[in-house]
Amino acid sequence: MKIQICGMEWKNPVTTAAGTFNARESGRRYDITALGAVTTKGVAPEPWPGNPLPRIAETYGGMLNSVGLENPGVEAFIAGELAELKARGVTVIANVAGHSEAEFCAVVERLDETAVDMLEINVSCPNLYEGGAVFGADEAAVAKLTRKLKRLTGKPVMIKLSPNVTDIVRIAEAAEAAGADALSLINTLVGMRIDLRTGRPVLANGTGGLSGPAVKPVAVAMVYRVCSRVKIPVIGMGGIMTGGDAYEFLLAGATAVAVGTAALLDPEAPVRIVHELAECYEQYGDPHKRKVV
Amino acid sequence: MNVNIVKNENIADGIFRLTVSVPEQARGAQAGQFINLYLPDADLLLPRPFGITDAYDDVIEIVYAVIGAGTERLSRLKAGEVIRALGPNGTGFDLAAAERKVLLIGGGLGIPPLLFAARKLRENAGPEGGAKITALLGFRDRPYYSSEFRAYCDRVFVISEKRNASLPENASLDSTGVERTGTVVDLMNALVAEGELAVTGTSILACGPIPMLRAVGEWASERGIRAQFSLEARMGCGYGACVGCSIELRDLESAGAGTVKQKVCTNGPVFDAERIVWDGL
Ligand SMILES: Cc1cc2nc3c(=O)[nH]c(=O)nc-3n(C[C@H](O)[C@H](O)[C@H](O)COP(=O)(O)OP(=O)(O)OC[C@H]3O[C@@H](n4cnc5c(N)ncnc54)[C@H](O)[C@@H]3O)c2cc1C
Ligand SMILES: Cc1cc2nc3c(=O)[nH]c(=O)nc-3n(C[C@H](O)[C@H](O)[C@H](O)COP(=O)(O)O)c2cc1C
Ligand code: FES
Repeated sequence: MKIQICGMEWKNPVTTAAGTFNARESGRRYDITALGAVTTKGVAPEPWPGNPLPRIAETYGGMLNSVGLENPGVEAFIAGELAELKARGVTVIANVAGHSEAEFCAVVERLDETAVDMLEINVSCPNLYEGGAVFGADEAAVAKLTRKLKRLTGKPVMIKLSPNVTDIVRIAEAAEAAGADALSLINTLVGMRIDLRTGRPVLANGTGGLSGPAVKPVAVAMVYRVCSRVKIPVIGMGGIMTGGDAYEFLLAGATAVAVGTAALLDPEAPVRIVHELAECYEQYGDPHKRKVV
Repeated sequence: MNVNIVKNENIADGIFRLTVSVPEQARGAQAGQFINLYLPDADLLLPRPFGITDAYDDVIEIVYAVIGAGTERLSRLKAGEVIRALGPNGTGFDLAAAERKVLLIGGGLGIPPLLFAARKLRENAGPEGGAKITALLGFRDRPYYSSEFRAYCDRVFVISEKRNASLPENASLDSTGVERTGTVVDLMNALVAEGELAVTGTSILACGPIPMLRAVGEWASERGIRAQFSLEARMGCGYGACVGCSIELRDLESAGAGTVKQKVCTNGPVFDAERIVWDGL
């Protein structure tokens, strides 16, 4: 199940999805070194307080979150979680958050000086601006940011795409043309629930991001379309609950996959999925040598 | 982990006590910790957190109210069925820091988890230990879980928001033999006025709805009493991975009005009352 991605070798194509992994808490529950890599929560130049509670709501086959990228800031991340992960010899993808180009640049510049293996640029969080608008919906802005970041770091830069756009392929192509080393998709879909009794949104933030098995067909379709149009590697995610789900993304053209919501529902899901995926490889062959026909 | 349902009893109107067999986890469980239960239904994906009401031998007990789809589904599970669980989770009450005189203050569904604290306090104090444990329990309607507290508490006082709801159990239970109507804070004030509640050298462990805890917090702070409160939050994971449950706490180490973010599921659910920033909860 070994893969090559952006000059790295991973022992298998499975990583965690940003915002659903915690080095200490996840590390207590399974052997995190058994994954191809781990992806950490979005980190900004300074600490962010995140959105008011409630931030979590249940939906059919999934969940809404409006955490709003609460994070302790890049310095605390470097001294804490990153140091812990690197001490364990884990390949680390750091998810980068920002309100503006300058903030993304500040984090990337700082992380360039660390042992982080890859940077995932979250231009697609739906919880920052009213109505779920995202930076990553504007292909010119994504291209400009990508070019800037590439000048600031020699580490692989992966742009994380939002599904909340008219045509995800156009954003993907813009990022590739601007020099992105890889793409990851999908981030969460904008969603909302309303309390019948009070008439108020269930989430304090109003809207949130939908994730979990409910989004998987949307994610597979987007990964398939993007992979058929770009040459750079794609990490696919969205509703992966089993090894079979992961295999489906690899068949759609993804080089690797990320497990998010499944790990919130069962802390050991990422390593269980590695084992199940190995069985799929045995049963169906290497997905990277196959094509959707 | 998978847990075996040993019993799932209807103990009062809409209230159930669930006993699950978890040999390893039961031994390490601490008062104030909770356990996540996962329902065998693809539409009920998120963890359901419940405070541990007791843990002994190989089992953990919880007491839950049927309030929505998940707890309704839970109430239909039968002995012998297996469900997924995670826990014990979180940081419980600091019983060592509790004074020799402890006030357990519970409101509604916050009451059952305090029973575990009562038993642990009694055990820690030993047979001749001078621990004085008083329980103040506030119900919305008819009391349903107060008799259990008698085994470990020196005194148990009960109040209900509904007139006459608390008889007959209350009459025999309340250490003053009075039937009371109101909230737990009414009960505290009444007992102080009656000279039944000396507060010096006392500390409080409490669990219940936010307005109740807030009032108890003010009451305790006016009297200079240390209080530990068990809080609730909507949880995406219940083990520290999603940051869905993060609240603001006063940073007592830093000078001034600094605050820090802490997770209810791992740093809590029990927090020192003086650290809690109530606005926003
Ligand atoms: C630390 C902790 C301890 C708890 N201890 C107990 C207990 O001992 N006994 C008891 O009856 N209840 C307890 N609760 C509340 C219990 O978790 C909810 O009543 C239960 O999850 C409701 O599920 P539902 O599917 O029936 O309700 P629904 O409203 O259909 O649930 C929808 C979603 O909201 C969540 N949710 C709903 N109400 C609450 C709530 N009050 N707190 C947190 N999440 C909620 C559910 O988990 C689910 O994800 C505790 C909650 C927490 C956080
Ligand atoms: C609670 C939560 C927090 C998240 N935080 C981030 C984040 O910080 N940065 C990011 O790029 N994506 C974040 N995501 C999106 C996930 O990484 C992932 O793209 C999405 O949830 C789809 O995958 P899933 O269905 O497997 O969860 C978050 C998702 C959840 C559920
Ligand atoms: S519920 Fe996920 S971090 Fe607390």
